[in-house]
Amino acid sequence: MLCELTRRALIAGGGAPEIHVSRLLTQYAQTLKGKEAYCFQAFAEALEIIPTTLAENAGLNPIAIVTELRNKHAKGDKLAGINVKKVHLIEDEV
Amino acid sequence: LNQADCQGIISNILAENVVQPLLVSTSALELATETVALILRIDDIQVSCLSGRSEDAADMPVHTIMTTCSIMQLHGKLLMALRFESCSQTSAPWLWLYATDVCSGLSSPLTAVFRVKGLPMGALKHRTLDEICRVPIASD
Repeated sequence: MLCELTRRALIAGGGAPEIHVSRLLTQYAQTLKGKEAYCFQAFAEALEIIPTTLAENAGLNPIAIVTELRNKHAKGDKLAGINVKKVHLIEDEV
Repeated sequence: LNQADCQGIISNILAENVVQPLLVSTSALELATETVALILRIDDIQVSCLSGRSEDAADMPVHTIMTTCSIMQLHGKLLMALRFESCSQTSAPWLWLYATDVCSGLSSPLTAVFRVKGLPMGALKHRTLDEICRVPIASD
């Protein structure tokens, strides 16, 4: 409700924005030196907790999923996210 | 799940109509960044970004350490006093008082209200924050 009133915009879900910001921060951290680089890197790693938790709760392997997600974003696919529904399809086949 | 299954699990999330409000992400990032900045400032790791008053930070001698950090309530404002001392023992101590509204808490940006500069070394020693607040200070 508050979102509707103050900032009327929708973005992609499924961990896509978090991974995107995390990648940008990691890139920026590599241009810094010393404790600043460490702090920015730590913040970027903390952002990856959100897709990791999403994958865990969907019953997926979080390490493989987040690595794949980061890979897709590195290839320029900004809208790549974790598709939880795909798991149900696999279960239906079984 | 093997690797082949994982391939299909990452997909274009807009094609699946999985969306979230922008405010959720921006608000979470904003609050997280403010909290990190506050902790880094208290731990004296990041002192160069003092509430956007970078001209003050540029004024400060490079080799300074934060020696005291006190919090008190004064005139309905929550004051946080940070005292910086020069390691070289030659330049004067620096004292920053930060005020924030009690109601809005620590998540709001702390704004510098006073800056003490040029006081002789030891003038601020062994004083309570209440006494420090009464020390004649150059308000800017």
